[in-house]
Amino acid sequence: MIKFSWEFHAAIENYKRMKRIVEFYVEGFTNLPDWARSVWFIILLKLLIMFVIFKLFFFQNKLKKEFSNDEDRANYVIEQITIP
Amino acid sequence: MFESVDLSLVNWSRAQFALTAMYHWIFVPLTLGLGFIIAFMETIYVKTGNPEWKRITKFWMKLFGINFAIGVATGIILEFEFGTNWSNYSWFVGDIFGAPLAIEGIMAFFMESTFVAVMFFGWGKVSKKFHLMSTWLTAIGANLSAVWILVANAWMQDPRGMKFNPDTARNEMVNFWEVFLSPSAVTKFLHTSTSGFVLASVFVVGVSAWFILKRREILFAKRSMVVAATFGAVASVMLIASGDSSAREMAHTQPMKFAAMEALYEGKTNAPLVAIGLIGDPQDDPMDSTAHEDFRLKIEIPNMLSYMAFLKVDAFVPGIKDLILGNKERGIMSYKEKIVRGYEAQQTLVAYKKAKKEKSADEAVLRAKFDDPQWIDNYFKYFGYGSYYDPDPLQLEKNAFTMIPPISLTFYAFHIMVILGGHFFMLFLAILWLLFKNKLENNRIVLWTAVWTIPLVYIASEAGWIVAEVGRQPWVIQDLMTTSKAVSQIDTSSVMLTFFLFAFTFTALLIAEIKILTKQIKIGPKKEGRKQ
Repeated sequence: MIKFSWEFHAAIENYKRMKRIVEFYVEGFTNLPDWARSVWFIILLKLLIMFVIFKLFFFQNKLKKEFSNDEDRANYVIEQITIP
Repeated sequence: MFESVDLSLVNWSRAQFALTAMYHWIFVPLTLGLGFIIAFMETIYVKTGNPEWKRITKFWMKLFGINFAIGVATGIILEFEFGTNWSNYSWFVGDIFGAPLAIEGIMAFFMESTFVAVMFFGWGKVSKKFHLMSTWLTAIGANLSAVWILVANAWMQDPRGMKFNPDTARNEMVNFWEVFLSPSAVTKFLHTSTSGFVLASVFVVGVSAWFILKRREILFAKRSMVVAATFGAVASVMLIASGDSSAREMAHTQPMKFAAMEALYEGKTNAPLVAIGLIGDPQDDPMDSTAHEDFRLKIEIPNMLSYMAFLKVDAFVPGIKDLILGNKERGIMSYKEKIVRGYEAQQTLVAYKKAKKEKSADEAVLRAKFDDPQWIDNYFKYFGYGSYYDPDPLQLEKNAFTMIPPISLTFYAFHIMVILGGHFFMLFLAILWLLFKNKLENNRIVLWTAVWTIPLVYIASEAGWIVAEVGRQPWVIQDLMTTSKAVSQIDTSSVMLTFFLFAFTFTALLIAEIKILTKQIKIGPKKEGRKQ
């Protein structure tokens, strides 16, 4: 009973701490000044361009894409770097 | 004109990487230095309780936030490029490059994202001391995350602490501390971070000078200048000292880059340092043994280059031709000899792979060579030179002369960096002196100089990277892998397309940053209690 009560208390404390942290961020983001809103718009747009457009369409890992195992990748690289 | 432009895959890949790295480096140094400047300002606020210092801190923190936000994740593009455009390189370096980058990513995410949030959202919500600690930890975190990428870069300039595994064709880290604490890594971190401190100090001094010229917020501007100019002057001394160590380290590990920085063709004892120089007409490309020093104008400091490189005024500093053709008297091995040895190492690797595939008796003997320290020191150390091999000795010598980095670009970038570095130091001292004498407000020449020094500090900062990266060509990993071998064999048109996509994206980001920054600077610091 004592153990249960202590664990329950700790869980409540953790919940309160997490709630305070979440509230801290939520309050911060809801009270952003205009310049910060512009900056956040740029950040999100930039991340979208980088990870959705650039990474998916233009930047695939060449060796992972073209070879199925590490041995083939190693043999290919050795061939590439030993041709004078 | 266009006939002379080499549109090869390797050049487009280099241009693409240079573009992204240079744009990334526009945003980073201001974050590195401004973080500490606002930490000093907030410390004064907490110590004195004077709300004016809180206002000062909040204004510069706002500019820090804009720069931080626009610059964040621009370095991720470089990591994309490693896998796509530089796949041979990425494979060859193995975890030596991957591990520091992973640590950087984790540290940057956890330290910066946590404490940056407290810095911006925490005013009035957390205690003054906790807020101050968060500001300091943001500044320290930003600099610590820079450590890892600089360790990785230093390893490329001076590879050590690793062993090549011929089975996987990858280098494996055998001594973390040798990689992490190599002299190149230590000097590179100190020189790069202090250059960020100087850049941020110039930025704060320049913007503050603009306020004084506009007769606005004069006390605010003077107080900002005291902090920034003091920090900048101290950082300048550290920058000069770390630059000196870096040059000495380079003279030992990358003598060709060192010679190119000074356009030194023939080695000399009592070598002078060219303080200011104008190089003559371009030499034949590729050069040959007739290449010679050609300055239209130069002002030299006697013995200085010898002293800078080896701490002896009469020390011999090898020139470009000593390194290519060798100098037995000075114990310098020629590039021609290194090419032959590198070719031997490459052929041993090819023979080992063949023997392994055919399960031949030679397999064990060949494999053992890659574990033999003497063979590694005599042959594998020059592995990358083998790419220039030709059975014809005359052609081999011609190939060796193609291994010279672009001299004019390296020379001018180095001298621009050094001359401007001296200008920044003098500017900080002048500002401090005039503030002390209370004569700054009316000295419009110094104030305008401070404003116009802002673009100059960015030029100097980029010039530093040009010296580091152009000066080490043709190597991507010094002596082990050339840039042309590191590049992925992909369609040149796709590299061109992404080059222009990046150019457009990063230019848009830069314009956005400049517009938002200038708008906020024009608005100026707001009175306490108003929404910032």
